[in-house]
Amino acid sequence: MAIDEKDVLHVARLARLEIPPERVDPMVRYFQDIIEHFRTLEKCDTEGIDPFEESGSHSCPLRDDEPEIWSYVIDALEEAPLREGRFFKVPAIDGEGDPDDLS
Amino acid sequence: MIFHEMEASRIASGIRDGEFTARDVVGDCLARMQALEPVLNALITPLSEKAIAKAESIDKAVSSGKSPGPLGGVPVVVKDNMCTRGVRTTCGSRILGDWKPPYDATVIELLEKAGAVVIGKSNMDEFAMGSSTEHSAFGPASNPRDTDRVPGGSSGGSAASVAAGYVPIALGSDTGGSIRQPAAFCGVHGLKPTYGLVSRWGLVAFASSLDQIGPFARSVSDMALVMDVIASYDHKDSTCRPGGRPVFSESIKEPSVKGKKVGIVREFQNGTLDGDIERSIENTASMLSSSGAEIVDISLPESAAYGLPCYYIIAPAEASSNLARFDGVRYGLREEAPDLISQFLRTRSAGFGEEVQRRILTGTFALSSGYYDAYYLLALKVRRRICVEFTQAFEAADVILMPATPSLPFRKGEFIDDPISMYMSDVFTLPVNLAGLPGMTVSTGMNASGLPLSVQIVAPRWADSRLLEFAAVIEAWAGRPGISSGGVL
Repeated sequence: MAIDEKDVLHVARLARLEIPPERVDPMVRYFQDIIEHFRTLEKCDTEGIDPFEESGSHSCPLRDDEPEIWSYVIDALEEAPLREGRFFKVPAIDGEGDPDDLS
Repeated sequence: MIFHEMEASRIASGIRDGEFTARDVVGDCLARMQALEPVLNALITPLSEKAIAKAESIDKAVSSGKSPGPLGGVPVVVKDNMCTRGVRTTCGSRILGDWKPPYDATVIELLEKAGAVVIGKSNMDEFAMGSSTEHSAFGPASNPRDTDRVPGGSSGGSAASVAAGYVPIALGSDTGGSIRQPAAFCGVHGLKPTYGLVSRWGLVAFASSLDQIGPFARSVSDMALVMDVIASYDHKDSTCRPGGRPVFSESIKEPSVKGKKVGIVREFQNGTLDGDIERSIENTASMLSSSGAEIVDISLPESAAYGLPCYYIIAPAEASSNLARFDGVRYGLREEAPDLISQFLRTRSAGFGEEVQRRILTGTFALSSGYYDAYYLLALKVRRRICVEFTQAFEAADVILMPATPSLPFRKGEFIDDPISMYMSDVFTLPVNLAGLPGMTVSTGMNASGLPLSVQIVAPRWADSRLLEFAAVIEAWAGRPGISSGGVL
């Protein structure tokens, strides 16, 4: 498949990254090269394979669902670039960056 | 006494027996670090004052008759993607700024409890994505065996710290070879344990189904000593295997390979392998055969053909999800903007380096609508094939002997503008992560130019102690790696 500038900029938007104009062409070339490598997987016979099978692995037990006091709340808040009281503070969601642009 | 050349086990016993003090040991290792660090740049954050205070507390414990722990007074370095309470943890990135975690990673708690003295947090490729430690926001690290060359990556700073004699042991993390490749490049031993043997709690995630913490050391006995400390069940990591762990130091007391089968993978000797590395594999196989092991040919065609593309879909896909949390809201860098989405864009674009951005974009692409089945789901299926292939190979062999890297350490800048060629450096290590297996780089000496040689041995899941037993036999033959200052001292 041919990846072009439009595709790369769309993926960048999904990833919440901005690619400066001078890096767009190298990124398009990188995508074209790496996808060529990915396509070698099409030669592998994967008929009937369950990709989520976990044979040979071990069980992953969850912790008991019991409330615990997490004593690091204040320490964690201290590291926020901006906060107000017990909350992280962010700018308004509305603006030029379109929050619904996740297609 | 020259403490920085000593093994960890010798340091611990000397302090325990009152032969010398932890303060003397740590002082000597800090002096070594301070002399070499301007050239090697192996550490992002040296912790000299904290280390001296800890050493003094160890000496106090010893003088009052208390046990200082199995690593009492032993200087260690940890990769800077492991959370350390109140000490900045950068992951080699700008985006975390001076973030100080409010808690310690489980491995840090275990090291501290065992009496280890953390003298610094090591340089690394940003978020563990790289094979040279050139992709660090804190500048590249150098290889102590030859300072014009890279130390490998992503745990290059940890490997360099052990090779240079800052510390006898260090911790790194390995997602696709990030312990074994730098161990090979720096001429030390490096172990990636079975996935689930060591807790990942507090390790900043890159690709959660592949990441595993493990040690570097200059001796197999030190490797066993540190594994006895860090390998334990942790309920805070749901992928950590419940139950007990073997006593690794017991497995190397009388090491023997007699009657064991060693598999050689013919697909991995395809003409692109460096001649010196190929000879190292052949010589090691001959020695193991003379020691009573049986050498058998095995085949891993799908791992050889598909390991690299499979990994470079799965790991970036997981990274794109894991790194979504770095948005300037809760910690680290924030680039101000009038609205939230613009703030995300500006913060992430300014905070992440070029290689991390490449991988986030690749992963986002592989998971995006229209491409998920064609790439991500296909890669998961191929991963299953690779797992099955290894399982079948271990029906014929107790361990697999193969290269850790296709080449000797390359020069700085050689592949910095050619990311896909850089990825090839991990071609022999990636399949081991995809299958969740333990793998170990064992130093086998130097070539005629003084560059490190090594082999990689791989075992079935949970047979990590078998790796150490084989490594002990190889070390008895090849000798323990020494330290190097890269001609600086």
